[in-house]
Order: sequence, then structure tokens, then C-alpha cells
Amino acid sequence: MNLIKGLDRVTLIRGLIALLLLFGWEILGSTETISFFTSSPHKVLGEFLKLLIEGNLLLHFIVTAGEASAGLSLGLFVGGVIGLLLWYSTTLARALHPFILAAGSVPLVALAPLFIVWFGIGIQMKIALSFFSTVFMTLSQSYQGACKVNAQYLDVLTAMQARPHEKFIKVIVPGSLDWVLGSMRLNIGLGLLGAFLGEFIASEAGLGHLILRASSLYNTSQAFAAGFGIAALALIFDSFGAFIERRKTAIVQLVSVPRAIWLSSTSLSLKRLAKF
Amino acid sequence: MKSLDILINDVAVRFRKQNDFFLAIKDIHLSCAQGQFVSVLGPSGCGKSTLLRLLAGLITPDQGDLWRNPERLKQGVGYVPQSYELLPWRTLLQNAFIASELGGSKYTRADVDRVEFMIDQFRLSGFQNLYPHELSGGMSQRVALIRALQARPGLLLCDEPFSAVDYVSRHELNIAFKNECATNGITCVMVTHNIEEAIYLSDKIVLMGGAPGTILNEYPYRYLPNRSNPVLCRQSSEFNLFFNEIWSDLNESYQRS
Repeated sequence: MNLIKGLDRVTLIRGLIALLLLFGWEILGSTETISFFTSSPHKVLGEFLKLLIEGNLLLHFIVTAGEASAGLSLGLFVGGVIGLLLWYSTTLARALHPFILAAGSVPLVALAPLFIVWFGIGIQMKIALSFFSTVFMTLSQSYQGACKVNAQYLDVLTAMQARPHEKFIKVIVPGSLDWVLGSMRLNIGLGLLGAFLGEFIASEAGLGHLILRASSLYNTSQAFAAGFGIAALALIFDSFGAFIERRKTAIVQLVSVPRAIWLSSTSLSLKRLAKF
Repeated sequence: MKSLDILINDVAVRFRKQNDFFLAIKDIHLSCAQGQFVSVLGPSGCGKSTLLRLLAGLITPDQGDLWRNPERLKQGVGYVPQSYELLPWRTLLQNAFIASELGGSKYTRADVDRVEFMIDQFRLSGFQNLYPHELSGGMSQRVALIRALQARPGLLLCDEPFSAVDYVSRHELNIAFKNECATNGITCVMVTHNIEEAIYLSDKIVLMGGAPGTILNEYPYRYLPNRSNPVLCRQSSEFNLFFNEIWSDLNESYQRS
């Protein structure tokens, strides 16, 4: 009951902040000259509806969502898996460290033109940009997570004669999942930025394309409407991340606990996996 | 004489402390025969846990030789660390079962049944699906014991395995524990602070002390009446004699240090 009350209060405050921002914005945009630069909520809403009905907003939205989610999931998966696997060899991990750091800190904008040369101007280029903007960060964070797993848990398994891959599956992967999932959610923004940047430099569709077109026509309302589309995308991805995070125990058990014992103990785990 | 399972010859272990090395244990000589139950007694900080970690293969000796019977290692090693270290993402049952999943072995339905039987025997039934953070200290400790025992290991290493268990269930657990070791021929090394427990459980008691820690005395097996019943056993005069002997040695080493 307290929880529900607490939640309600949060929602209320959120609503108030949103209203306040919109109100301030509306006032700011009420004069014609300023409105040219900032637009105003009702104009953005109008533009939004217009885009939705006439301008294929949904199509642009889906294009960006597809590029970003493909790039992100590839980046997170590859980075996560390689980062965790590096646990096997401290030597290799330490040897690779400066390269990963270097690759991860190259500004993507600088590389973007090269990506056109490598991948063309199609959807592959956006996916690649989104992939590259997330993979190195995820990799180093997953490796850190693997290193931070409680050494005592490993000791127990070492003492019990566990083999390295058993330690990996039963302790390293589950123990670092918090880190991996955490870095996933942090990287959502970066992955979106990658796809967006790709659209910004060369594209025929997507929210980035829409913004580029709108701002070159000085149509601030439309740029804002598309910008809100991107924000909505970030929120959707983030709530998907939260959805996965809530099920992490069930995921861990699915991966690292034998099916027989998992099923015998747990219709519970099944319920956890299915719960909303 | 039965074959040996553990042989430690003139072993020393040193640790790094800032820029210095210091000896944790030295001049350790110890042998355990197959199926023998050995208890290690001694004041805190005398290197009992270090000795156990050495036997568990978690540290290597800086001097001397450590030999563990490879045949027995193949049968598995049970390890009960001082702070249990149950995996927080596994339920009680899943934690207890993990030993059956290790060493590349295939587990069977019988393994699952055995774990469930032991959970019942250790009075944990009904808690199978709880997670470690939902268990009390005593319960976690019993889970750690089941985890170590259930796969019938060749070697069992326990660091104060009953320290968090209440007084009454301690007796019951002692008996169940001893029976498991005896029927499965498990060679067990147990670190404890409880002299009485050491007396009625062990075939051999080792007294450690000093800094760096070393073995001060060894007490071989003695006849005691009613060994299988701790409460009766400790009423006998033989028990009291043994207890006083160990206590005075322990006290003496304590006063000296």
C-alpha cells in the first residue's frame, strides 16, 4: 500500500514537472520571433499529428528503431560475450586493454565519413555506427564485471574441483550480470546516437533524416516533433532493459542451473520469467 | 595401516603485507589416513583457516610439500568456508545441488533425490525455494554443509561448520554429519573452536598455536564410551580427562603467545 502511494506521488511529481515545462515553453513560444527558434508545444503537437497522418512518421520511427535495436543488440551481445570471455586470460585482457580503450574513445563523428566508404549509405552503415558506439564500452564494462565477481564464490568452486568453464558459467556469468545489464542500459543512449548520427550524415528515412530535413527548412516544430520521437525511442528501449533486469534471476538460472533441478524446484522460476 | 589421503611435510606459507612478507604457518607436518576425521583446534589467528585453504588447493605452499591423494580428488572435494558463500542467485536447493554439476560429471535423478533427502535430514524442508538472503545464518551454514556432503566427496574440508547453528541442533547435526562421513568413507579435516565437538567427532585432533602458526600437539584416537551420543559421551570420565588435557595445552599456548 505504501509502495503504491509512493509510486503515485512520483507519478504526480513527474506530471507536474512535465506540465510546468510545457507551460513555460508555451509562454516562451507565444511571441512570433522567439517561436521561430523554439517553436511551442501546440505547434509541435500539430506538426506531430501532421507528420503522423501525412508524413510517414511511423515509418521513420520504425526505421530508426530497427537500425538502433539491431546495432545495439549486436554491440551489447558481442561486447558482453567477449568482455566476459576475457576473464579466462588476465594476460590477454591486460594486453588488449589499451587497444580497447583507444578504439572506444575515438569520436564517432570523426569516423562517420569512413563508415560511408565501408558500408555505403544504406541501413548497414547506421547499424555499424550504432554497433561501434556501444561495443567497446560494453566490452570493458563486462570485463570489469567479470573481475569484480566475489572471489570467495570462485574459491568454493575451485576447492570443489570445478573446471574453468564450469566456474565461468556458474559464477562469472551470473555474478557479473548486474554489470552487464547495467552497462546495457547506459549504452542505450549511445546506440541511439550512433544510428541517429548515421541518418544525419546520409539517409533517406529515419528520425535523424527527418530532423535534418526539418532544420534545413527552418521548421523547428517538425524538428522538435522528430526529437520527441527519439526520446520516446530511448524510453521504450530503457523500459525493455528494465524488463530484462527484473527477470535477471530467472535468466541466470536458465543459463547456469541444470534443467532438471531448475524445473523440479521451480514452477517458481517459470513464473518469475513470465511475470509482468 | 590404511592408505594415506593427505600428507603435509614441513610446509610453510607466507603472505604479503604491504612490502613485507610474513609467515602465516610454518613447520607443518600432518597426515590423514583414508576415512579419517581430523579436527584442528587452536586460538584465533593461528593459521587454521590458512591450513584449510592449503588443503583445498586455494593457496600453494611456499616451502615443503603438500600431497593429496589424486584418486580421492577425483571423487570430489567438499568445502565449507567460514562464511558459507552460498551463491545469491541460486535457491537453497540449487545451491545445495551445485556439487553434482561440477567436475564434468553427469547428475542423475538419484542425485536430486539425495539432495532433497539431505535437506529434509538437516531440517530445511519447506525452505528449498528461498534465496540465501532470506535464510538465517544457521540455515545458510547447513546448506553449505549439504552442498559439501551431498556428492559423497573423497575429501571434506570444513571451517567451523557448526559455528552458527544453535546448541540443540548442533548435536543433531554433529551426529548426522559424522554418520555421512563414516558411511561414505569421507576423509574430513575440520577446523573448530569447540573442544567437545572435536573430541567426540574426531579420530585425531591437531592443536595449532603460536605466530607464525605451527602444530603444537597431536592427539591420536582414544576410546570413549557412547561416542555416537554427544550428550552421554561428555558425561564420561574419559571424556573429561581428554577435555582437560587439551584445554590445558590450549591454555598454555594461549598464555605464551
